[in-house]
Amino acid sequence: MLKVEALSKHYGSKKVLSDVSFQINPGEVVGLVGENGAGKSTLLNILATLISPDKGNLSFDDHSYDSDLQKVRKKIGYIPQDIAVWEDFTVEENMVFFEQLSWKKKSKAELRQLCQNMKLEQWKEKTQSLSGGMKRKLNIAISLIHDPDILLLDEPTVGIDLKSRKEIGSYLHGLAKHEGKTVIYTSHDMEEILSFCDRVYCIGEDPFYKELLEENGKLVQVL
Amino acid sequence: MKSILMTRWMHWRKQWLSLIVWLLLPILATAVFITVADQWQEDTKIPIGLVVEDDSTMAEALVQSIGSTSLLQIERMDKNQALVKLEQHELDSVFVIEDGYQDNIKENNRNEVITAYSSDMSIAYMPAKETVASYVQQDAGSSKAALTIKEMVAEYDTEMTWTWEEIVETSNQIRKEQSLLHSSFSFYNQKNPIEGTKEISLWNIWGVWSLFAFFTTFFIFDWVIKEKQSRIKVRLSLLRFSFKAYLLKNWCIYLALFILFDLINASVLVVYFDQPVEGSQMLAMIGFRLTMCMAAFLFAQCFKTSFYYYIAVIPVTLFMAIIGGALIPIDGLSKDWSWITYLSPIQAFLEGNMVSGWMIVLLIIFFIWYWRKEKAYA
Ligand SMILES: Nc1ncnc2c1ncn2[C@@H]1O[C@H](COP(=O)(O)OP(=O)(O)OP(=O)(O)O)[C@@H](O)[C@H]1O
Ligand SMILES: [Mg+2]
Repeated sequence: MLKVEALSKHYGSKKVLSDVSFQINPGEVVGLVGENGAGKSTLLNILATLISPDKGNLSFDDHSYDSDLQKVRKKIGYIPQDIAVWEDFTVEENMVFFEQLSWKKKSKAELRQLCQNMKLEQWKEKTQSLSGGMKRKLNIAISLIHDPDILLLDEPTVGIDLKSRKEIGSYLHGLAKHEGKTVIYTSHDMEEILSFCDRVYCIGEDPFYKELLEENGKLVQVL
Repeated sequence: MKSILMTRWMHWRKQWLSLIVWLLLPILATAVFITVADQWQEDTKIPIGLVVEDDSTMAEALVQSIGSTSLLQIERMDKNQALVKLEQHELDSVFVIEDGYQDNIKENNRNEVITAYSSDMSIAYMPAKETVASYVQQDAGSSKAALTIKEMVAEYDTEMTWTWEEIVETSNQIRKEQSLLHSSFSFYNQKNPIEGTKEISLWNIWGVWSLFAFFTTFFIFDWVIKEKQSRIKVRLSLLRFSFKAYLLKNWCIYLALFILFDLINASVLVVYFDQPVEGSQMLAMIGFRLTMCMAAFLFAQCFKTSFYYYIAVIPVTLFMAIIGGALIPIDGLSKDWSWITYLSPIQAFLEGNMVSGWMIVLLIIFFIWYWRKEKAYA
């Protein structure tokens, strides 16, 4: 279970997150919405241990972010908003590179299967020459190499075609429902949020998202 | 470590050609530089004053030997005249074969048999002194007669208003202060005239090499900036080990790679320029390499883009090379500010020291860097 208590973060004089608290259970898919600059990426970055909050207690499965950092990191799969892959490597090389440095050993066949789950079939192709959507798929696949328990996805599906998007969505949904993973993701695609998320967190004062989602029968909590 | 090696190898495989070129550049550039510079020197011999106060056959033979050196243009004259010319910078340096040269050599007398005068503008003093010393050694025929030249240093201020008497007086003073001559560069060109070739180079070969080695080390270390500033950093931060550990392990691999290529570089220098290399010099080389790798690594940490890093590297390298005496012997300068050479890690290397002040300071910074808390949690 992911627990966040009284989390605050500001950049300079700008308050981005103030006194945010929530809990997410294993097997839940939670959406994160809000306008540009609301603080979605900031929150995910904090959950991914990449930046530290000003205040607040975080823990995952009773491992505190402060004292058990490496244990927490081992469980985190973070998919950054900006595509983070080696452009001069092939898909295969990218997968092998991060597999070598990751927490879990995987065979090439397993790595390839992971790409196929993301609907990425180009295995030997240079990443440079992939389309934007294909790179996005690779970006997701790399983050799943070590079978993380908690998936933090920052706008993972931007630019991915509708068909693949649906398939990736239901794959991630399946990971949550069948393997008990915790999935948190941000998206500006309302339809995607509506069809895959169990609950939605809304960041920011603007009532627009809350009203829109509640009209469609979603459980919304404002952070 | 195996996985780091493996992943680093994946990067190297993509850029092997440029990597090899960079790693071999110090030796290639040194070879080209020295060859071209020596060619050019053929036409510009350096005038040396030779004062012979001993009329023995041995002294005459010594004059012949020195005269046959292609770098030097010998002018024989009396001491008075020579020192005046030295003062006027018409001569680069002056060597006096003292009265009783042959007798002293024969008796294996440790007293100085040759007096060398240089001015603060002498550029060829070092190599000339080495050459003369090696001929005298040859005469002495025994390694026991180690120190046979007395060094005289005459300093002129810029107006050159010193009289000959003042020079002599200063020289005498220095004579009292200084013990017998020692060679200040153990890495100085150690070509042995006994082996036949009468060529010597004005340039300090190891000095030139160290300049290029310094430069290429910094250039190769741009990987630190590339990996630190790229989007990949978020992935590298969530690995089995911390991002700093990732950098540190890669640093070790680079250090090993550099040392491997240093050995290749050194063997080429030994073969191509027949420079004898001793074990202690190899240790100095490894110490120098360690210092450079730490310096480049920490320096790269201060930059956000490779471009500004490259721009900053060039003046830093040149500055270090010049104050370290790698390019030109800066004895004239360092007589007044002897501390200045210690500002450059190149100096320690050329003197054949494994440990330098730089190394210790950098080691401390390196540890502080590693043990300081990472900003994000760790
Ligand atoms: N490193 C930083 N330094 C200063 N301010 C920052 C930094 N990172 C983010 N911010 C600010 O914090 C706020 C939240 O940014 P964040 O990236 O979390 O927004 P977001 O909700 O992810 O937006 P988007 O939908 O555009 O991705 C923004 O106003 C941004 O300008
Ligand atoms: Mg964002």
